[in-house]
Amino acid sequence: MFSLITIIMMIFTQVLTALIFSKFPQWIRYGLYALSNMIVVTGAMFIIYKFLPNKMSTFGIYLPLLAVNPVITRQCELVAVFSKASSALKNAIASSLGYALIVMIVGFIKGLWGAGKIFGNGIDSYITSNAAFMPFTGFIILAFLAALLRIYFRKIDPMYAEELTVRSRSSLKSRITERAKPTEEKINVEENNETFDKKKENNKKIEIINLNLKDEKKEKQQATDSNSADSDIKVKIKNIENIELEEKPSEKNENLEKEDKEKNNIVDEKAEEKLDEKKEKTKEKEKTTDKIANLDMLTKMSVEEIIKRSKTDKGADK
Amino acid sequence: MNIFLGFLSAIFYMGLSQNLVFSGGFGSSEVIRTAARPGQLKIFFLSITFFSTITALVSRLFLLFPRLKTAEEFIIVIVFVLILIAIYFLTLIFVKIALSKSSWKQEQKEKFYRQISIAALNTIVLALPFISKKTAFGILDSVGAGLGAGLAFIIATFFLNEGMKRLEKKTSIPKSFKGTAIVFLYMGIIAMAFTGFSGKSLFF
Repeated sequence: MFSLITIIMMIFTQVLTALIFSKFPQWIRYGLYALSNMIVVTGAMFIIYKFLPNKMSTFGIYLPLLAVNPVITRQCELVAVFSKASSALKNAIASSLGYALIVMIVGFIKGLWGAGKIFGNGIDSYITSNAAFMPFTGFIILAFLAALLRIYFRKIDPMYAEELTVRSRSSLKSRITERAKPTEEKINVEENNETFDKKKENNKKIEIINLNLKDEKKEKQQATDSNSADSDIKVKIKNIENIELEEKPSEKNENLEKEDKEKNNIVDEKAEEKLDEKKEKTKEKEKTTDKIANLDMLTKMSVEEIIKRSKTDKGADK
Repeated sequence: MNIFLGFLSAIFYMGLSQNLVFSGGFGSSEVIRTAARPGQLKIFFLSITFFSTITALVSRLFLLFPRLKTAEEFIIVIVFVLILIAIYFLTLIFVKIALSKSSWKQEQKEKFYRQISIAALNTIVLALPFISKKTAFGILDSVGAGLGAGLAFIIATFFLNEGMKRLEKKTSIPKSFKGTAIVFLYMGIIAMAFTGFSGKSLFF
């Protein structure tokens, strides 16, 4: 009877969910599930009360509690909300039959052990116990049923058997990390191989670039030696330009004129300095060429001629 | 003094000696769920305590009407379920208004509403008005029973969470009993221990 009510309730609520309740937000849906379940439960209770009044006491408070049955709520939220009425109906029939089967197995064992009865019919039982009617017996029977189901699924689909198990979140996390480790290691090895090859190529490239850079540096040094003064000026001009950019736009116009003047002055001064330096260099060069010419002459002359020349030079000085 | 002692004994009765989860089997799915995810314990504990206390109190107040006292059982079922649904909707509307200006993301809010919904529309909450009616609890006793339901829930979750942690480390458990089966078996043994507090005879 209990299983039959659950089947009707599950079908009724799931079809209603697929047709109507799915349009509402989740928090309202939960209340609506309880309402639709309540309609079925009270209807069933009314029928039992009218036609089988003696059976009413056997249900106790467990029949009204079906109104908030978490199995129905879960099935509605997982399947019926996202599916059509026909598929919701199929799911409701399948899941309610599964639920009913478990309820009947547990009820059968409890009835047999507790009262020596099979579906209400008395048999000669060796041992009967009050313990069979207590909740802990239900938990233990469910444990054995879960173990049987696990054995069955481990033979057919081991992955599904693993999915069925109840685990704490911490153990789930550790399992996920354990599973992820080997793949990570593989990826790391592959990455390392790739990076090793890449590093080789990169090193070669770096060597070539360094050589080029050295050549460029040499050229630059030569250029800077000749144009050091010009580069200094350029640097100063750049600095001034940067300062300009940083300054406010209102002050820019005033400062620009000043700085243009400064630039011109600097350029003039530097140009003059450069000219002076060039003149000095040319003078020095002339001196050195004269000295070299004298030395050549001296090497060509004999010792006696050199003495004569020195004497004449001294006499001329006197 | 007697009223206060009655209130305390109701808490003790529902929480320990007649632990609703282990001795009654109510709300066991929520206990397993919370034991597996201890992060949800606070919300579930507060929600279950709140809804069970308010539902027990309001349904007890409704039973003061003489017509309801003598009403048929299915009418009382309708009344109790409607009381629970009304409290649930009112609470969630209030929570939604309170959270409308909060900085929570929509996903967080949805998760929070879902957790409240699961905790509110639960067998441990709906069972209390029926138990209160059956045991002829007074108004304050009903409130105590509601608080006792919260206590029962947190005790059951604590036992199950600790058990699950230790059982997962055990290598001596047969492969077929690992996971759900051993959790149910452990729950059955703890429930047996709690049945001992109730003083019921097991065999005769």
